[in-house]
Amino acid sequence: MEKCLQSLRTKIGISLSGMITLLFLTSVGFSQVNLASVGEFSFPRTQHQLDVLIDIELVNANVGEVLDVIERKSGFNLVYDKSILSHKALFTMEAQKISLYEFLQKISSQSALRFKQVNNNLNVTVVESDRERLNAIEDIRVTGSVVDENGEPLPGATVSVLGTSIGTVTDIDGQYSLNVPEESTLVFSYIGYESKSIVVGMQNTINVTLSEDQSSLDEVIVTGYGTQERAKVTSAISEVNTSELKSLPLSQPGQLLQGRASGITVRDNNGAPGSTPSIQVRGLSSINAGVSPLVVIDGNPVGDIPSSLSANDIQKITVLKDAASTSIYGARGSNGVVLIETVRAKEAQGQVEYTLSGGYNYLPQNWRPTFLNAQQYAQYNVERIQELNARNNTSNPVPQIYLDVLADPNYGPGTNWQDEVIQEGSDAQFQSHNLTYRGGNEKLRGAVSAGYLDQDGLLPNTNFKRYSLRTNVDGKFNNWLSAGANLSVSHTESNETPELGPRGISMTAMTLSPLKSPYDENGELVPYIDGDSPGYFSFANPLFKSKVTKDQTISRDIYAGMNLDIKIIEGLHFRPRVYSRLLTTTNNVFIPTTVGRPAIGNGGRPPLTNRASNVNYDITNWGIDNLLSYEKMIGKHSFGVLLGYTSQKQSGETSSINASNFPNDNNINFLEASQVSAAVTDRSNWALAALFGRLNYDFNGKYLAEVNFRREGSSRFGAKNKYGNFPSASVGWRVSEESFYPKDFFINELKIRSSYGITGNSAIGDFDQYGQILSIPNLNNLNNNYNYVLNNAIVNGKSLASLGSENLKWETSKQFDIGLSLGFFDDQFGLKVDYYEKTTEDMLFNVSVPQASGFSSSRINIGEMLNKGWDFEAVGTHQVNNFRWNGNLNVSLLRNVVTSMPEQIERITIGDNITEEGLPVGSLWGYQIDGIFNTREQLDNPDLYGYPGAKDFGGYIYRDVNDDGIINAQDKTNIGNPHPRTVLGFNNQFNYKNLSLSILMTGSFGYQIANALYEASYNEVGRWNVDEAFLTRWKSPENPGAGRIPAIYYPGQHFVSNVYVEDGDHLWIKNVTLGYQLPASLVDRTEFISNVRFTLSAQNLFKVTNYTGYNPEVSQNGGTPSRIGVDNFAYPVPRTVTIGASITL
Amino acid sequence: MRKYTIKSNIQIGFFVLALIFGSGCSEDFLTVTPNHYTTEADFYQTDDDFIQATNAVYGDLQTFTLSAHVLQEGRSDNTTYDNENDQGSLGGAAQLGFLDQFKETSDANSIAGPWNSIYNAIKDCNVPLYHLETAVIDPDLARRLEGELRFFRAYFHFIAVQYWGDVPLLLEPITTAEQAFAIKRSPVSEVYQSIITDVQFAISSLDPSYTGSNKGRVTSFAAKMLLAKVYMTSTDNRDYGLAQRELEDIVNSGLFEILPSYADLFDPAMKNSKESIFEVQYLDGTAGEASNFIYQFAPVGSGGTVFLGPGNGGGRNIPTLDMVNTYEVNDLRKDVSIGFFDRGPLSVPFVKKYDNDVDPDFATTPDNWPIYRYADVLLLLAEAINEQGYDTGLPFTYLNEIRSRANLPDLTPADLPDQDAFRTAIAHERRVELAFENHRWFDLLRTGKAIEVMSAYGQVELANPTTPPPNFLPYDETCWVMTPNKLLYQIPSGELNLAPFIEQNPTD
Repeated sequence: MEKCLQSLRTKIGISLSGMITLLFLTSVGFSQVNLASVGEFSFPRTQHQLDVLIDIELVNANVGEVLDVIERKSGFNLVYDKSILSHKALFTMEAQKISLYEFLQKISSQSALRFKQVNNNLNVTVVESDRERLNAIEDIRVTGSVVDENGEPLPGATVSVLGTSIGTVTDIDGQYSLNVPEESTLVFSYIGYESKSIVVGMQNTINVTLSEDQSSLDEVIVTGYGTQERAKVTSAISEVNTSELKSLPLSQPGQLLQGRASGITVRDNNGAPGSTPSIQVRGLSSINAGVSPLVVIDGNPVGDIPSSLSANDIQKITVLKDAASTSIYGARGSNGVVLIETVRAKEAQGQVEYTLSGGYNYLPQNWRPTFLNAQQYAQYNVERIQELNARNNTSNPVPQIYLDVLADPNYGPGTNWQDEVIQEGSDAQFQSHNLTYRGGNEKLRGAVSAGYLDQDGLLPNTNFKRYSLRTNVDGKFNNWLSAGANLSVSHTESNETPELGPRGISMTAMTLSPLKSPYDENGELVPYIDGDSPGYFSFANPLFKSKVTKDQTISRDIYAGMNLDIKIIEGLHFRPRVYSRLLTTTNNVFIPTTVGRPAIGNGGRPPLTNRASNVNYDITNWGIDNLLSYEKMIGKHSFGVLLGYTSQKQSGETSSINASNFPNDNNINFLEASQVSAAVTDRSNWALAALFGRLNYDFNGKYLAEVNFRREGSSRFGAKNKYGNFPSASVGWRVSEESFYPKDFFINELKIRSSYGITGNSAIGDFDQYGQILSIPNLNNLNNNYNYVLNNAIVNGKSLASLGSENLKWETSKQFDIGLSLGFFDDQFGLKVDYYEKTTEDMLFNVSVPQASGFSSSRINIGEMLNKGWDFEAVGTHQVNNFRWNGNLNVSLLRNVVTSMPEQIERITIGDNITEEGLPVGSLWGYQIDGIFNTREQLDNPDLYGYPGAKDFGGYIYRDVNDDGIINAQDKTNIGNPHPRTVLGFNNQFNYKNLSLSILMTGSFGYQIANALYEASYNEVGRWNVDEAFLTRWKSPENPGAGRIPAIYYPGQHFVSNVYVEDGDHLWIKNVTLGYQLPASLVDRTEFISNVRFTLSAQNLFKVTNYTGYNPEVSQNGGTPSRIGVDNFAYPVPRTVTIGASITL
Repeated sequence: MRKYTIKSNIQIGFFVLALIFGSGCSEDFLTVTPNHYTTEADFYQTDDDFIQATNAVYGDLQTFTLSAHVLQEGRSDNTTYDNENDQGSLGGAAQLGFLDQFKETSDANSIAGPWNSIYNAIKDCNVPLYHLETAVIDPDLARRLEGELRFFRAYFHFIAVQYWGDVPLLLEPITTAEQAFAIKRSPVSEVYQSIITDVQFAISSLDPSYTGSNKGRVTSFAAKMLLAKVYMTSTDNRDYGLAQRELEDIVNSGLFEILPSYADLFDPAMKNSKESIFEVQYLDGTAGEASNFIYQFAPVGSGGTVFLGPGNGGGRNIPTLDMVNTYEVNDLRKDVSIGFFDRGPLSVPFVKKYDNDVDPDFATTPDNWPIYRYADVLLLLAEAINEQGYDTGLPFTYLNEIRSRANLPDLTPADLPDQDAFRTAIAHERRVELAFENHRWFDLLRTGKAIEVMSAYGQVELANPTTPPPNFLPYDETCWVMTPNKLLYQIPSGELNLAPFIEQNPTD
């Protein structure tokens, strides 16, 4: 690029023509610039611009008008000081066609105006003196390049002369050239990088390396439908920057949030590969409508975090917690909002990154419950029968098999079924690959990411695979139009265990007899493990069952979105966005004839009828957002306005085929099955539409305020209650900006903020408002249908099978938040503290109704619930020479209580959980055991109760909670709180030269778990192996044992009670990752590699807990509030150890 | 410093258009109705709608009847449970063993199941009855359907009142959760009053018989039978004369007769015979319309021997040794009713009446279930007359008509010299003639014999169990302790947990 500095040194003395002035006296102020032709608006932006001919005519034009003509006709950006406009020159030029160069010369000759071309800029100055007039272009030409730390060129970086408007931008290769006045200082700047100033002196070549500016990345925070300056945020928002979380052994994106932000509870309540963790923001705010936050991926509200999303594709996660930040999402904002941004490219980036990791899964021995070994088991069975005989006056013989074991001192411990069943190490592998390309320039930026994940489970033949591909493109077409598009395609394949829960694989692995082996003498798997002796339970061999049974789910998930940003005038943007998702899921189950079922004796012995099912779900979702935003600053007042309209619609369908009795186990052709039933039903069909708006205002960045409003309509509600209104407001005061605030105080930033708002919850069934007319309510139980037989032919019967709830309305949450944001020591440390109270009213609950009504449940609005708590988030960073530390401590204190229930529905009980006024939602519910009858006095005490038929020595002492003199289900009571009162995350990262170490600790405290696996493991009547706690059971008044296990079988011994309840308090060393980055000197020797990093990572490394089950984060029934905190042979969570590498080209 | 351009104006126009298109017709947009079922608002309009809605109650009857034996037969001295069953069914959730021994708790799901299916059926009566009031359909059809629906509303309330005493009396559909929670129990007398009103309407509106595609529907004579039973059961309304009148109407109609062969009654080829007044229709096959009684009634381990299809034998409704021994010598009915499965040292009796499975692949059978048959009418009529005064005429005729088919000698006034002797003979005859047809427990209740008979039976069973009790559920002195409180079942605990105004029955 050359020479363009054309000094326009023509200096024709100008005398303003008084005559002309007079001539146009009548039209003062209305002087005209006549444009010859609209078609010649823009010129090609080349060095020939000055040579292009333009039509021109000036009649008494003032300076501003002349400059305007120049800008329009030339395509140059004009750069000048506003004082120029005050020059009182007027210009007249008869209509003519001249080159721009000539035109500028003429202007210059008529006035003191001087023009300098700097790339596409035209710098306009006024000659102040003759001397300057003579030397107007005594400038130095400087060239050079701008690169980043990796030596990558930075196109589009700004190079400007300090204190002037002279400047340029770098080209695609990061090159620039600029004519600058002598002794100028050049400022090099680029978004996301620290600016650099260099005094030109006599240099002609200045090459600059810019380094990334960590703090400037954080200047802007993502909010609902927009962004905001961090300093001006008035609501409670947490962020997780995931850039340093690459190559962690995580299969699910939700796990990235674990322990990294306050007010957010992420629980791995199920360790099955591919299972998603439950995520809650500020507690559970509903009974059984949705409780998960709304997840928005790149602007597309998708509901829950899909397991099809690769954690590697995530660039940043922002969690909106209070009503002020979430009410703009209206009816889906009650449970918080999680905004996920996926990989994007920066301008001028050209980078290929390959990340891989691989490793093994483990379930450490001390995480497993201990069951009796062969000797203990045989001894226990002998005693069991003796004790029963003694009590019942019977003489059942002890089966010989137990006596034989006891008689054989060399028998050994027998089979440890857990060791046989649980797959570890090389049998349970983890591997992940990710290839990301980023590239772009000023006009177009794109990122492409391809991922592959393969994770084996701890239980045999369980596995999760994900193939994902994502493309995000951003383009800036001109200065008023930019656009973005994203497309993601993924395929997941999940092989699940045929059976979990109370009679599933884990349970079998614990309770099978240690006297039996999974293999026969030829080393082949035995299909069915018969009970030791008559009356004992027989089970399918869990290894065999897992091997031959199929339960596979395949999902294909496609997201696409496109958005435009149209600048209408400065500050006013119209941003339309369309997005869509297509999800199809196929689940195939096959259970061959060779799989037996648990039964006493031979009843479950195979062959049984084989059966299969094929279920297909599909969902089509699309949405449109129209956003209009305006920002304006008037003096020290700045305003922002957002208006928006959104509509979203989803339709879906489930088709299912159930079949049984195939001719053989090898060929599953549904046409060959003897019995086939099929149905097509609605999967998910809803629509919503909403208008919303936001207004922010601040004065001088000091006093901040924001108001949000959303009015939303949903198809899920009947005509009367279709629409809901969701307003919120927040205010903030940056005390540290006040003039009275001490300048060098160690607290450099102090902001007080508060918010209040209303959000909604509409996560109910799509058609709850309608009563269903059905013939066959349940494909799995055809016998229970409404059809009948008349005259030996089937006639159709139809019944009103559910109670419609046309009066349903939104569940609303009102949330108050007050918070402090503090920065210490020039932001080396930061602290955010929030206190909140969230009251949920009209909770949408699918309540069980008395069945005398003919219905089992109805969706209604009931009750009121309060969540209140504190969120603390402390961050810090410190650097000493080569050593750097970053830390993040977050603590959430949370209390949940149901504050009101309607009169008729005082309590809701489902399974082992109860919801009633005064208790946390879904409190654990069971009998209260007050000990074991051990003395005659206890037995004679009429105030002590046993279970009917079990008030005897060694029986449990039950509490007659309702004082009616009998122990039955009415005596169940609150026996524990399943909600952690304190959730903690502590993340530390240490860097020393090329080494890095990060340690993440997570913990939850103050809650209980109903360890329902005791139902099986404490169950001697089940006649299977039992927990080692049985070694210390009650045997006699002299030998009462540990007080936990009563005497051999009495009725009523196996109900969930306080005996089953354990504290879940725990502290995990959730992740430790050690990283090593190859020294630059080494990497630089290769021409093409710019960075290589190795990692060694362990997930779930270590846990500190007294909880005896596999996993203290367990919740068998997921996050469903009315069913939480129950562990009934949930899938164990593995320890995963991986090594990984990341190579950047 | 740029001015508006024409382009900008185009942009604004674009935005406005987008807003209009995006936000237009939002009422339609926000109305999403289900595709895979009809909603309540779109149903109950046409003749067909109401016929289908009425058919649903028959469907409910099928479901209910499949397990009615637990509370109506298993509770009595007729049947018990195969003690080879596991804890889960005998003492666990189902509490079959406990129910047999009068030791069940309100948690027993064998009680909750019938409660739910009875009230589901009553709902399926009330909902179409409510809509019939305003429906514009064929008036003759409307009258018939109302008769059918009110028959079933009476029938199910009658079962409920015999199970639980005071029960919720529901004559209107429940439409909101609030109404459901407000449900309370009504006194037995009110329930019976409503039953009588409903049945009388059914008698007046139903035809004596139906043919063609309506064959199998409930008739006016079935309603008369129900009414007679009510008159003989309800203490408040007990009137043997009125019962006699209804029963005589049936006899005098000439529509019914005793089949020559007892075995034919249970032959699927003889469904809806001349002896049948009302029976629950089933159809073999996999469409969900088949019965499966033999699969439930076969002894544990008898799969492949007693029945053809898959499974192991449910061990339900096992005839007691007391029952086996109650048949008179040469009673032809014994072999038709009871079979024996040879299980090691033990020969386990089982109910053979419904052993007609034909498909080895599926646990389905074509057997109908008799609700009312003519033999029941004759024995009930004999009883009704006898209760009004010892009569050596017709009662003996009716009794002997039944006995002669069973190849048993006639009984004469010499054998049964007084009212009480005849009463005992009728009770015995009903026990064996109607064995395993779900009459015994109600007969014991109706005649006030339950405590006496069951106490005695308990001693027999304790001394000589039909199948040896399991060690987890040993027989002891707490079994078969009969008191007046044991004559009613407990209200299911799940219902008590939900319904604030429903109280439990007293327990000892």
